Amino acid sequence: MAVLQSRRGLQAPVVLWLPGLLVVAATLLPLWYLARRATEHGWAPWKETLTTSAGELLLNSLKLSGVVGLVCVAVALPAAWLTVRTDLPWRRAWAVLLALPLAIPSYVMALTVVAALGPRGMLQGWLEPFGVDRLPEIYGFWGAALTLSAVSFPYVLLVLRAALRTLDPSEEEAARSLGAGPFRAFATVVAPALVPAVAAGLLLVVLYVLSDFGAVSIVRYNTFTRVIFVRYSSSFDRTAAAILGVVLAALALTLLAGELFARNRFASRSQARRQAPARTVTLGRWRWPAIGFLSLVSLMSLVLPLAVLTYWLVKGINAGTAFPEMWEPVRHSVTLAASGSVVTVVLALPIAILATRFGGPLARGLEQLAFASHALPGLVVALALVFFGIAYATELYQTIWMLLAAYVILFLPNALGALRAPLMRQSRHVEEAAAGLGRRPLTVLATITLPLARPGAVAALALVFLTIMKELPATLLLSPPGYRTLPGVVWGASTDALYGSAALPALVLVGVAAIPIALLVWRGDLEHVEA
Amino acid sequence: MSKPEALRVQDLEVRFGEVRAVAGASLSLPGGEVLALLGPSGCGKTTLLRTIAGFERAASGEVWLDRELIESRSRTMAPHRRSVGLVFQDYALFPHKTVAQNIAYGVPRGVDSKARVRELLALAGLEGLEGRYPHQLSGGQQQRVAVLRSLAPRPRLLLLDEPFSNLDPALRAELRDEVVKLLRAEGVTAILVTHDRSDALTVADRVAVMQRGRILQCDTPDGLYFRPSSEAAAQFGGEVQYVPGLAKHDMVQTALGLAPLAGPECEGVCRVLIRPEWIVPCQGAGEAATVVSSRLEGHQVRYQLRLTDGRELTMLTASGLRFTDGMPINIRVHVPLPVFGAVSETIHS
Repeated sequence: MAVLQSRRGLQAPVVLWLPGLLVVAATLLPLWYLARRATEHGWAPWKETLTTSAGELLLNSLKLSGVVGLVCVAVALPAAWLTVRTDLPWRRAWAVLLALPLAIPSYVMALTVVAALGPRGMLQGWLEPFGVDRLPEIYGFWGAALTLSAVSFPYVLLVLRAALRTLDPSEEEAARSLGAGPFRAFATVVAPALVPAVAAGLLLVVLYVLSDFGAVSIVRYNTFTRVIFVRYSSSFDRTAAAILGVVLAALALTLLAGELFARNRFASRSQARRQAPARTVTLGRWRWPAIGFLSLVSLMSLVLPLAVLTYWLVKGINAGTAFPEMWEPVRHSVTLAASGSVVTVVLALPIAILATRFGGPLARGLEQLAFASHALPGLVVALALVFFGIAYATELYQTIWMLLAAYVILFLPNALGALRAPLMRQSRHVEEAAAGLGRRPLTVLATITLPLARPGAVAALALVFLTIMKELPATLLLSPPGYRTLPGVVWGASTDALYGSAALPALVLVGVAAIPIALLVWRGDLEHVEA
Repeated sequence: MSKPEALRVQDLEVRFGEVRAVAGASLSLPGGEVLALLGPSGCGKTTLLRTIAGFERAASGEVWLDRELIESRSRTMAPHRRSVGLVFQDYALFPHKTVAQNIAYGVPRGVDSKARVRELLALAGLEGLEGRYPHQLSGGQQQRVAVLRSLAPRPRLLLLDEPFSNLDPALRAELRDEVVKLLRAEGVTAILVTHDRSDALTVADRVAVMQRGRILQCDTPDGLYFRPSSEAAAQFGGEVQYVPGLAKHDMVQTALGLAPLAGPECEGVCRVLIRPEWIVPCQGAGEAATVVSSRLEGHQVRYQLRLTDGRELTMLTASGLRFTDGMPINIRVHVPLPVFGAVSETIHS
């Protein structure tokens, strides 16, 4: 059997590295083509695009991600500490409740914000009898900031919870025994240890905000994604869209490099930690303000959005609104999410096994390349595939296969992240022991490595299913004509401000997305979820 | 040698980049014997073991198993074809398989694996654990299951990498004897890596001492302890102290009198190894010395003695004998002494 030399230990069989290599190469191909498409008319359109819009978009995006990042850390840091390190009542229930907004896609959240606070919205309707006919403008920056903060703080919360839990309590104990009080110990030992996690969480949010398309479009705030979509759908020459796509991809990849740096520092800190339960802080009377704070967060991020949707649903039923037919989009979306998650996890498996069980420069390089698409906005990948499909794969263009390809490119990193964790925990000697017992490499793979990957695969399937269910731009751009999906139906209704008819598909979507989240929470795998 | 040679390692060198983890190691092991590979951490023991198992590549030198070349710079046999078992320090039990499935994993097709598993579990006194998963076992049980799993396919050679280092000190000696009993019962040729001198000296047929990637001496425990080949090897066999001496033929003259040589005949000024427990108090005959201080160490007493020429020496005796500080006593050595640095007669002849 052909093998590739790794520096130490067992050699990786060809059935692993060849598929891994092909998958990573295939994910990079459309992006390469996007860059080619953006430069095929020379530098003149670049000059025009960069001077007219890029500066403003960059400023808008940075402003938005900065504010959302700060809000997320300000909410997630105390919430993480309260749910990990204190004797807060029902800690586990709070952790689940605070993670549940992950089931609400950003465009659904934006829809509820606009439906509640916008003109002709709920609040204005209630205040009208009191003579209030205008509310502060919800469209634009503040609407976008509110929406994106509500949907993205759970990601920071998960990162910080994991960091707090892996923190070695004996460091804090050492500080206390050296005469530091609880506050000094927190400030000098715990807080510095959390810095890398906070940085990683912040970068996660910034990447999320940069790649979000649905929310900023609904609240009409001009960021890269919204303008790219407008340019793409309204003009014959799509070069400007391609150029902005390349700029956005470059920006996101730069930030990802920062995230990888933070993650590596974080990872090297958390290695070889003692698995001792941390001492819990007794809250005493402070538990009431703590519960109040967490209730407020849950109210804003989960209860209110669901209440708003229910309100519009009931109102629509009473008014006899014609609801869109739901069975077909549900079936389509579930089919897409199920098949997309299976394909993605199967393709991610060789890369995850190579990186965690064999190592070596090739495996590491493959994994890092695969993680790169973590930073790529769904819209950019979709755009790249549209261009690529029109130029090279007309038979595949506007078929389910193209859509599945987009999902694989977009969510390969999510699957890798979930597959990695349980594989990393097992000693690498396990496969060597099997080889020492006389089993051929393929037998070892089938009888030892794959069973070890099973728990991670279940988590990865649930996670990718969830993200595909929620994915808007790729689904929108690449669905076959007339192929109705849940995100598509919600999007169609919300762009027409038909809150009543958008409420039903939105609630169904959140309901379906909550299933994999419940599974992840139940299995305790939620900490591996990443944006 | 009566038994045929099972393993031969010849001038083996293993590199990691610029680092020579194994730097020209040689050893030979007869079939059915247990060899202890003794050395400090980082001396290359584990790398040597992993190269024999096929998980590292040789930069130069050769490894032969049953007169078959299994590893050299240009040739390597895949690990799964070598029939070399490896017991890891972390045991590396398959977490998704039961004890019985773990042990049966390597049993070749055509062999009744159920019977083999039963036989081995009975041998180790672990009956009743068949259906347990590794995480349901104690550390000592996991360790024995790991050994049984490696023994099950009847490997040509079994390698054990620090198998006792993760165990509770109280259990350690007991389990060590039990595991070695298993190895003997199966009649397997085995190498046991350890950094613990008492592990090596008590259980092994031979001890190979390794330092900085080289084998300093490969000998019986007796040979390593009483006839070390170098000063470096001597300190692996036990506590060392040296006195100057003058060798002539097969005797050496030291401050403790005239004693027979442990090694070959030699001539001239030399350094003489006298382990503290080789010095014994005696009546009348022997050299005069004064007790400077003494310390009870449980099963033995450590004395600091001063000889008439002012030189100080350490003596270890059984705890039953007690001398008070300042007491004059007579001492002698009761074993042939190894010497270093003299001109060996054998070279001249």
